Amino acid sequence: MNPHRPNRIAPHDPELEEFTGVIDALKKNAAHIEPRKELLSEILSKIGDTATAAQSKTSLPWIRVAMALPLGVGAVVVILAFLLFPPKSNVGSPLAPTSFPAATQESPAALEPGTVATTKLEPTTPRSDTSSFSAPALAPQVPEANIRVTAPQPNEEVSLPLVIRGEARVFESVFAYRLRDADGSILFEGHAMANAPDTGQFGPFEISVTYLEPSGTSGILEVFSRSAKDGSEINRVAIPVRFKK
Amino acid sequence: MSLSSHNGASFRSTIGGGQEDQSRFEALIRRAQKGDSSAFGDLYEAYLTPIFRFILLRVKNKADAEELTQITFLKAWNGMRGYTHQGRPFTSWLYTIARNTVIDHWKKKKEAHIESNEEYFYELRDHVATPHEASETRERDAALRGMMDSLSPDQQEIITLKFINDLSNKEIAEITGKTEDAIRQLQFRALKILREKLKHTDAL
Repeated sequence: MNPHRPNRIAPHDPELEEFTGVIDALKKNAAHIEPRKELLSEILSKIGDTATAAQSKTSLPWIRVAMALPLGVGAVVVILAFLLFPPKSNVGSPLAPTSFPAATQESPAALEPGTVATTKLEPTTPRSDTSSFSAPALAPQVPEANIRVTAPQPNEEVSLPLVIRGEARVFESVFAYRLRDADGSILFEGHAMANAPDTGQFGPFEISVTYLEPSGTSGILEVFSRSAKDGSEINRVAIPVRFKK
Repeated sequence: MSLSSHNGASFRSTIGGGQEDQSRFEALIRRAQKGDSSAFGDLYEAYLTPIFRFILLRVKNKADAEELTQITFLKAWNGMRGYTHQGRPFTSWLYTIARNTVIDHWKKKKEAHIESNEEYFYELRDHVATPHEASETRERDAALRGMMDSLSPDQQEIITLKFINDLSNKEIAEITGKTEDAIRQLQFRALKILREKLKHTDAL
């Protein structure tokens, strides 16, 4: 049952009165379905620090600490990186094609020719480093792409927190994102909404996320939407990234 | 609020159906959006059972349902910051994540459509202690399974969201991408099928 609005359907909907018996049977026969009582603490443990896994009651305050630490460290690392290596030097450094073979292998769907759009760049900010990524399946530009990602850039070195920025023109403005490492393991997944002014128009978005520790140095960030018809992933943008060690 | 208590019973009892409780619930969501981790915990507790029921009735396998429930809540945790900037109702948002998680699972495991004959809804509650109660639970499990098996996958989803998760047609439309009219039609057809089926059984 929905905990915050219990029993609001059957008694109040005259259209459903003739089916009261069926609806009651459904509710009665489903009432016994409960998750294991340990499931909640297992979920909270996974969210928080695994070190506090066994202490479900006391683990919550630690979740904030566990999440804040990598965020804080990540912010310091980003600031230091900016001071030591100004953005210009990052942009110019090409990435060897061999640094991204595993992700290519593990995400074949993401790299099918014609189905993948790379970052759609603003005309006024051309960048040279997109050409340095040589995965054959990444189409160079798809002008009519419905999702455009401006950050991170292909082959950019990323760290915590990862900021994903761009714009989307998708159904209900809802899009999804997913980061995989070289093993194909999902480091994070989520959904968000672009701030589109109206249906059919692009809306900007900016998401800041933390991700699990990657197993290699390279990964792939996917931003996509889901077909309202069948839930399949469409409008996918795949961006290879490098993880800061 | 204690997090590990009674499968969320304590929270459910504090968030009832009244207007005041609804406001408190919304306040909890706002706190969670601002990064209040204890509010996150309370939200998980409140939604765990309904989301688990929805997923279990979709995948029909307890082990998979537990795993997908975990994935759903982890995705919600990761997406909460993004959600902060949305105007979408939290309930629809969370169910959409659960639904997409199930769809992804089906894609990865096409054989999941081939259902086994094992009992798949059956989960003993903590307080089910006597053989009589256990037997009654099994009967309900079988009855529910019989009802669901007579419906198409689309009908099963709508019926679950509507009558087991108690969502409105508007919320179901937001979650499934179907129109409210289409949902109403699916619902009526399914209810008619179930009524016919129940006429021939003792389930009522």
